[in-house]
Amino acid sequence: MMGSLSDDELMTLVKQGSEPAFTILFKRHSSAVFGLCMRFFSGNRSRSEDVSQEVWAKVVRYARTYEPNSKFKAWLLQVTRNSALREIEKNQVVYQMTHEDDVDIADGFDLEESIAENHREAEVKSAIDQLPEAQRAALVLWMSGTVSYEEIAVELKASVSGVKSLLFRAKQALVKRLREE
Amino acid sequence: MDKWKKTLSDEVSPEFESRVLGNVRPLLKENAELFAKDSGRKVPWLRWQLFALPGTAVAVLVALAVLRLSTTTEPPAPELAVQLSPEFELAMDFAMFKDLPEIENLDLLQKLGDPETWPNQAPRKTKKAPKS
Repeated sequence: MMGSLSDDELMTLVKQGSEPAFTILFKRHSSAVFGLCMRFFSGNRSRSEDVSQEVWAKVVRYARTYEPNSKFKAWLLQVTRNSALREIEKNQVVYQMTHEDDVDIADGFDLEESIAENHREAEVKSAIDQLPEAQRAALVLWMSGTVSYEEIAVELKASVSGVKSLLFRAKQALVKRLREE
Repeated sequence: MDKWKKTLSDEVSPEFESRVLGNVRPLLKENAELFAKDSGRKVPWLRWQLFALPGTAVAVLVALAVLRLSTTTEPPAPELAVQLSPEFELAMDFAMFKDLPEIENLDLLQKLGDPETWPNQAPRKTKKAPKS
């Protein structure tokens, strides 16, 4: 019965302390949260589980201040991104960009389509996990939702052109790896 | 972009699921307590009045009833229809004292003296001398 409720309705119940409501939310979105963490941490399951657990604890803590606006998943992924980036920051990974990295993304670049059609999901994940950390972080942020280049630049402490460059090179590397396999 | 998102997802293990649920359970309990506290504060004044009004009315009615009972004086005893003769009253006095064991003691009885002289004793009516 509760399974038919929307995310926002479930969050209202979580605010009131409902464990069944939380369990449904968790089952709905745990794969997305965990998967995003896995990409951030190169498939490191242990680190991904730790950060995912932290994310779900935040969901319960923030439930009281959460404003229902039908964008629960976007909000959840934002919390996940921030938690993952904080975790990466703890390890003092700095995304310093050089002027040589400033490369614009070519128009008509349809990596998404080619990956989705021609390759298996596991191969794509593996290829993402093998990317250099800065490229991977930029790519995962971009993949995880409606995040602008400006927002990614702020998160990664880089310039917008630097972010574009990172994304361009990340996609190029992905295509190369996937073609090789 | 949706296809991209699909490549981001990964299934969690049942062990991880139970770990997360165990971890958030105290937080959920905390939320429930805070919510209950917040709800208590937010009860409108009028709603409290609706609960309080019948109680107040009953309390006022009870208080009035008690007040009325405490101030009501006992109705005056009806006057005796029969005027008792002094001899009968005297006999009654002695009969009452006789029930007490001490009264049977003659000394005590003497100490008590003549009932005629007891305080608060209504004056005896004297018999009128027969008309000659």
